[in-house]
Amino acid sequence: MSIVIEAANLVFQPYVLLVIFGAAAFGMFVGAIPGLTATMATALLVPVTFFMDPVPAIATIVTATAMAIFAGDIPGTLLRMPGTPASAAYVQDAYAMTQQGRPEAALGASLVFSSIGGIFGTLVLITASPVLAEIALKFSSFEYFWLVVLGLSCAVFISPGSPARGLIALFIGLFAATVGLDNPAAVPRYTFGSVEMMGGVQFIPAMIGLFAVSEVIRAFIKRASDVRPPSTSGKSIFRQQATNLVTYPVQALRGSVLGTAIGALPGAGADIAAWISYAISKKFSKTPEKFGKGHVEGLVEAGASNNGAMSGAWIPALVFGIPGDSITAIVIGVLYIKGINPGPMVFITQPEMIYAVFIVFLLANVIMLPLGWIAIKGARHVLSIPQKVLMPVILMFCMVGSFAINNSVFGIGLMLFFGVIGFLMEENDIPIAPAILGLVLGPMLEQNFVTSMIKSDGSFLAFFERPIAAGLGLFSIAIWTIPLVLWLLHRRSARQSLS
Amino acid sequence: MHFIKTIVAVGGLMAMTGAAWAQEYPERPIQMIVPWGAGGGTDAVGRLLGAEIQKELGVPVNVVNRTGGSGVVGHSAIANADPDGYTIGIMTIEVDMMHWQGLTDLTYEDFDVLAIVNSDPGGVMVSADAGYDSVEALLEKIKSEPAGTFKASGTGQGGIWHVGLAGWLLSEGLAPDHVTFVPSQGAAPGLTDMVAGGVDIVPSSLAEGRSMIDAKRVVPLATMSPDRQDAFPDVPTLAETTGSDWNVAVWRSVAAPAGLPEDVKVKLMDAIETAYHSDAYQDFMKDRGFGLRWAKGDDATAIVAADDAVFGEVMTKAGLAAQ
Amino acid sequence: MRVTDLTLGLLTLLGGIAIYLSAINFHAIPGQDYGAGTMPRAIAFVTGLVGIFMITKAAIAGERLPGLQLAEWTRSGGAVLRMFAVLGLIVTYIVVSPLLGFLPTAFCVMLVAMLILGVRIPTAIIVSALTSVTIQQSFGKLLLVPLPRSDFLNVFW
Repeated sequence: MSIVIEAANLVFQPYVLLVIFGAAAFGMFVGAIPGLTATMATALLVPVTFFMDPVPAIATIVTATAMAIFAGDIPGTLLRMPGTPASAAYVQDAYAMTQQGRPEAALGASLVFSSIGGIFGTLVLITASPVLAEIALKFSSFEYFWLVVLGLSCAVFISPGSPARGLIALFIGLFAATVGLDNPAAVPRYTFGSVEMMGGVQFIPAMIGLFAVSEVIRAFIKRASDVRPPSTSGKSIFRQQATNLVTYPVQALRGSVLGTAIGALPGAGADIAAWISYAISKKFSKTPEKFGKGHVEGLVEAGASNNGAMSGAWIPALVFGIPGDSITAIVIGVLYIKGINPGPMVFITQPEMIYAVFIVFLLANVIMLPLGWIAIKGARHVLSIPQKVLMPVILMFCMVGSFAINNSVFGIGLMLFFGVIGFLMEENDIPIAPAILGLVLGPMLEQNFVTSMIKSDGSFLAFFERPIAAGLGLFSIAIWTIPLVLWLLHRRSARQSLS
Repeated sequence: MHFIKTIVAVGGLMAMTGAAWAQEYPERPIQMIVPWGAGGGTDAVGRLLGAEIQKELGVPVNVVNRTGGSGVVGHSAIANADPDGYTIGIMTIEVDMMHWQGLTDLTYEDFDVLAIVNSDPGGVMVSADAGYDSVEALLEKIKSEPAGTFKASGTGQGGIWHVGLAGWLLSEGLAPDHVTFVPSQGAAPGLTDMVAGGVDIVPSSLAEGRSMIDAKRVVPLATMSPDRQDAFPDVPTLAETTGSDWNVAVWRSVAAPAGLPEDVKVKLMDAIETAYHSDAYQDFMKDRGFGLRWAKGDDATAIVAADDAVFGEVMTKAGLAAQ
Repeated sequence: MRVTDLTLGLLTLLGGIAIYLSAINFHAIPGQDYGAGTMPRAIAFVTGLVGIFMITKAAIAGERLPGLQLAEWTRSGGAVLRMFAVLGLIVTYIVVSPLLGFLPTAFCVMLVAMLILGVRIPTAIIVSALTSVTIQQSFGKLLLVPLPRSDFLNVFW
């Protein structure tokens, strides 16, 4: 117990609390601007943390990232422009709710269940970190391959409309992901001799293009003024969430558990967690037909999931010094600078440090509620600005955000290209979400497939030789075959009943 | 009228300050391009050096990540900038390899190498579960098994540790592809995969495997340097054990586009030298387990040129160079 | 611009074939059967299958070529013009901002966009000016994004 008190003493200092507050505001700001990611927020904070003690330094990063992941939901909900990739999974539902005049309900659900997921993830981090990391460490490229297949299958199944159109979208994304030099063979593909193209299709400009620029183009066509901002209900942000919690307790728990588990896998982060959770939510829902049309259920589960993943990513990072995602990779670097070598030894030599990190986590997820409330109240006014004034400003933010990701106008070009593609896709009822996931997971899919084949000397059976891989593989195949078999059976019985 | 007067006054003021600035370098912020992602080792080195150079020169040094294309994008951005001293960058060892692979025409000769600020020798690391206690035992086993039995990973196809492995195998009288190389996204994924049982050897720098070594999941068998490393005094060199004379090390350098004015070059080199010797930089490098190495100007260029020649030879033999 | 299922299926099939042809010259990793061509070929194969599936389905449903339905908005000349105007503004920013610097370009692009949408001139000028300065201060100064700078008008740097 004395260790906990010692740790609390490290955290509850005026300076540390001030830092947490400042970092929270910074995270809100960065997350709410489409094009700036939680990873970027962390990277920008690193130089600042050089001048801090270990505990405030970690507190800064933990708070800012947790806040950025939630804040990414704000532009997603209000303007259909997810602020971070993790918000893209359920942007359809959140935006539909705004159009129905319930933006507070959507944002409130995001906020409260982000906080719940984050707190759950932290509790798991505290209790089960060594055990979970041990399992995650057994994952090789075979297991990762199946995990990616699972994620992509989910993307096709959660997309509204026909699976064929979902597949077209997925392959647009996968094909875009093949551009450039970053493939296992290190061969430049589809670069047309351009150095910038060697870097491939960057995710952020593509995402801004597909989601935001296509929306701007539509606004220009309709001349924007005829799009009236929806009226908002006067209900409190938090009161409805009590109802949600009573209605969807299983979803909230499932999202938290799965998010934390996925976050703990090295390399898999909040974005994948949100996609998989959203798909699972739809699969097991009593009303799957409502998904994508402004239904809060998926929001509850995926919102809890992505913040759970944020905490989960710290499990392998703290226990073995192996980053769970790009953010913890940066944090490990910061810890080394501070003279703390993440690994099992820290638990023995500096337990108060570990407990201080745990306290910071809890604090960040609790402080999120009041700060998020302020952000939502403030952001709501975005909607009262006429669209004809707002759209040009958004266009500018899109261009600056696309530029900032690699500090090059090439990003703006990419954004423009994908803006047109996204516009044409929407015109033809092709969902955008699978294309985004294809773009994100394409490199992982290719990397893990090709390296697995090299390791197994070309034998595809190797994908089923390791127990976890075999389990994941069979599960992935079942996802595809069972609906097909059911459909065939259904057709046969329908035909028999006809004849 | 008043309005016009103000404009004239402001314009005059701007012209005057502009003239004053033009007298001495540096008069405005310097941009430092890092060809690798935010949060990585190169990024950290760049940001820390940038902060110290900023103290020295008195103008902001803005670190800008230009990633992608295995470093080609960022290195091209440095080389293609105006050689006016306002764009510098962190040049990494990939510049000596990518032109052999046929990815770009860019070589070290397109840069003014200002200083080498870090160097980390390659190593031989195996999983703790594999049960090797020395590099001789490992080599014995590699030689006795047919080619392709052993797999190694730790960087992309044709990356530095791929070349390092091929060079080592050649020096031991083996075919450069006797151990199959599995491309990975970097040392950390390679190490994770090795611990998970996916590959057998990771020939990356020991610094990159430090946390796994401390966690007793990875065993360092040898270092590919002429002398033992300060951070790993118990790990023998290849020369001590198998008798191989193969050495390989990654370095990081600060470079500018070729054709820098001489006075700007001297000023930058002095600032980097002070930054290198600052406590902040020295402590940071030791804490991260990164190797310290200092060479500036022509000495640094000579090191870069020597590596370029060696890599060209090994990569051609290993079939990694473009025909 | 909306194409019918049959046309979409045909386009998808053609896309698959094009990807396959483009991937023929991607060689494998030396000494391996797999490499740069593996992924594009797999994508081409499945894309082709999806295309064939859609064509079959549309053909069974009795669809015929040509299959291009123009949406309501394409009949309004103003809407088409505005669509090209917004694309043109983005291209303008890409081309002009490195030359003129961020502030003037951003201001002009936003101003023109607002005028196209019918915002009153004073409002448009004020909002454009405020937004460009805010972005320049927050991104340029706070976040250290190297926005293109110009040799004149650089009083804020």
